[in-house]
Amino acid sequence: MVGHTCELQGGAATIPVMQQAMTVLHAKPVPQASALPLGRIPPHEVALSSADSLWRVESCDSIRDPIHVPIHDSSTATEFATSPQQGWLLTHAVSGERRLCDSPDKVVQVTEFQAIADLVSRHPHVLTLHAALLGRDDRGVIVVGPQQSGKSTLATALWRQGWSLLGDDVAVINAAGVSAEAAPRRVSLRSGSRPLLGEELWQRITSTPSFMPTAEGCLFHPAEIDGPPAVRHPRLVAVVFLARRGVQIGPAEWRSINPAEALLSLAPYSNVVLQGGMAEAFERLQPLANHVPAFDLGRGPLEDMIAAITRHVHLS
Amino acid sequence: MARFKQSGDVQSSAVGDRVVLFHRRTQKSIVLNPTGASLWNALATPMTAADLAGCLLAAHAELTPDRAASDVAAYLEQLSEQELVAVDA
Repeated sequence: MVGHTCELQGGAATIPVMQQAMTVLHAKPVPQASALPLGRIPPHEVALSSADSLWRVESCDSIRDPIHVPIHDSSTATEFATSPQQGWLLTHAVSGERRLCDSPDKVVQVTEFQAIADLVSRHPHVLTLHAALLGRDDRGVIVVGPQQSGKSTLATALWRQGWSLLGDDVAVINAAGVSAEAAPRRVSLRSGSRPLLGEELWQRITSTPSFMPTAEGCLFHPAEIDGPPAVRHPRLVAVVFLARRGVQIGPAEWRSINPAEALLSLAPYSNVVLQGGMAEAFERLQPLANHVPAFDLGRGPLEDMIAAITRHVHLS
Repeated sequence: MARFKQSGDVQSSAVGDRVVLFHRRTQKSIVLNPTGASLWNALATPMTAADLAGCLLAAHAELTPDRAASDVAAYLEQLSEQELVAVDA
């Protein structure tokens, strides 16, 4: 059919993308609770009000029977199975789910992770995207992309250029779709980002109170480097897609996406897909797609990618 | 003459000047361009192909009636293949 009249676009490829994205969302090791000072034995009750998650923490002198605890971290399971030692058992007040931790840091990390998991999966009114959120003045940019698309690297590079790194994994979108805030958790830096950050900044990060090394790199609060961000709920001026499925684009090329295509592409990254399916995701994301322009950004030299984003933000 | 209408299994989301259609049973998503979207909105009320062609002609004066009729026929055929429209009993 001719283009100027009626044309069908898109298709059935959405579902595999959705499943892939949601797998990433849940499999990715997550977060930590800023309410808990690291390096100290956590209190018996840990609550993150924003996520309405409540975990009871019990300190155990010797855990001799880890088999009966559903452990999701295989390395921890092995350690406890072979060498009984002091540990902490976390029990969720609502679900009864239990987690075993071998250190206070691990308690914080698991609690923070679970708080966000609760936020994403158990609160029907909350709309989140698996995305990085960056702010500049009162403006915010969401960066969306599959694993290994360079999302974290770009977010880190933008942070290095003076942007506020508000979050690297989960952005909470307001109902009107015009602003966002980051989920309450530390951000994750991969070891591969160390050269990008420079040794001086890396060392400053390692000396912050919330710093915690992980297998992939580290966790920390950017606010402990920069101070509190200027705006915690920036007005969204762009949704930036990296490596969007089926899109061919040149290095650092900046290309507008029509809102309908953006809606199709955003839905798989939303928590709503898990709760209400694609139909509800489309409905809930409709305001965001209507109000915030979306763009594809080709992977290329970081300075060129940053220039493309900055140019748009300055024009907004 | 057959009258077409939006399928009850379809959720439509207006985004900009386009419409995203999602079929709840087949789980397929389709984007209609602005012209397709305007015809979709017209299908909120059962219409014949001739009615739709009339809508198209009203919006695009440069079209000939034959062209409008053939475009609408192709449009309805594609929507029908995707089970996005139903025939009003």
